[in-house]
Amino acid sequence: MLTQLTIAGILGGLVLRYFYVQQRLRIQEQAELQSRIQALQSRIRPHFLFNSMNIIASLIATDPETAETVVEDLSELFRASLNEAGNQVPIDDELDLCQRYIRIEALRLGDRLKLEWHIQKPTTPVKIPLLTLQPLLENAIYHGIQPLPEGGTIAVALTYVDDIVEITITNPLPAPGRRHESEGNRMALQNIRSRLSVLYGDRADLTTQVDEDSFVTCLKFPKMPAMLEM
Amino acid sequence: MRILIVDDESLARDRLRRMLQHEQDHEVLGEATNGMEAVRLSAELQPDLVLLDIRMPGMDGLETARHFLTLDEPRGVIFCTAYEEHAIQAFDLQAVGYLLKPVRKKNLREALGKTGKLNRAQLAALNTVAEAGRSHISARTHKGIELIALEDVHYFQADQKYVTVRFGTGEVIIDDTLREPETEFGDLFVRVHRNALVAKHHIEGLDRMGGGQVRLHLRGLDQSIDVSRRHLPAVREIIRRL
Repeated sequence: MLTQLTIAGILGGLVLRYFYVQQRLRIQEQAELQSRIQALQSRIRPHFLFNSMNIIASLIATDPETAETVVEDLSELFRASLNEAGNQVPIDDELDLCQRYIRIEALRLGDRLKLEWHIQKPTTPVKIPLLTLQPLLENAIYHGIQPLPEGGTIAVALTYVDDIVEITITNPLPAPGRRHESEGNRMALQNIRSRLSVLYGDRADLTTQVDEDSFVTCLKFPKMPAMLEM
Repeated sequence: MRILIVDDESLARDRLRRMLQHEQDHEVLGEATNGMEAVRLSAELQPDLVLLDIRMPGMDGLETARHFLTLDEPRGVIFCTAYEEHAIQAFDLQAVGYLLKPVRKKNLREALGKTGKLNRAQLAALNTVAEAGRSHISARTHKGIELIALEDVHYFQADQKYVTVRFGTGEVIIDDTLREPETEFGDLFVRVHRNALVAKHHIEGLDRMGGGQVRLHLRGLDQSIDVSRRHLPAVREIIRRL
């Protein structure tokens, strides 16, 4: 009887210990994942910050109301970039951030920047990792619109195919000899890819394609994340 | 001082103009939105000083400054930029004016006070720090300043004293030897003769003349160009890859 109790006690202890270690491991994994995503979190380019500050400095005297809007938009963007990493937000929130971002860039670039939005409304709520679309638009502006004296149009299309969210961004490109292969561009893309793969495994995909005079970025991810509720 | 403001962003130009409005010794002559416009306007308005944004589409600020120098347009230049550029760090910042946006009035005033003209040593510095070769060739002609897009250039040909640049609709003379464009645009051009440097992407084919003479046809050009025996293998190799 005593022996049986002892054995049961030891076994129970082992099982408890097992679950305890498991739990610790899970917490640790989560923390590592969190810090990995944190490290990958999109960063606002310093150029953008200083250009925006310059816009504000210029508008304060001539158009204080617009200056105020820029301060509000800029704050929202920074708040988002400081937000807890790996956050998934309703897709409308990300689109709203993008609109604010575009509003600032439009002040800087004037009528050189044109946008076409083709956004399908989801039937059920859909989430997207925070600041996934915005850096892609930033790339499109920095490499597609800014180097062109006459500017151009960025087209954004968002559709739902079965359970997959599909976003396509098309921007013009300068003539082949004038293109700058940019380290920053590649890094931004790599960054988003890594974040997507942490969240969705191989069910997400980010591809780019150079056509004759345009650059197409295609982002696909499932409506539902594979894991991770943080 | 008479000043030209160059920036592709209108709000940035507005701000500089406003800051200079109340400066008694300074007058803004005009504004340009890119480097090419800046080179033309500068020749026309003859400013003492150019406030020059670095990042601009088409032709950037660094290239614009190089044209001022190669054209012997002795302009003072103050570079303006939103963010520290690596390129500019190679400069002697004491000698070249350099302002960070948003520009502070105090810094602008100081820079205006001490900025002199770019000198030859700084041109050399500009040439080494510029990320790529120039996008344009500049020349002074009877029509004024001409800027020729590099992709339009068919060939450079050296005479005894000068170099002729042949392009789509005409030709200009520049104050260089063939060695300069050859070093700067080496990837895009090929030496076909002691006296000729040809744009690779305009090359169409070879013509064999009598007496072992070989001449090169260029797209969109009636006249053909002598290829010397020494340079023939290199030219053949390029044609093979077309």
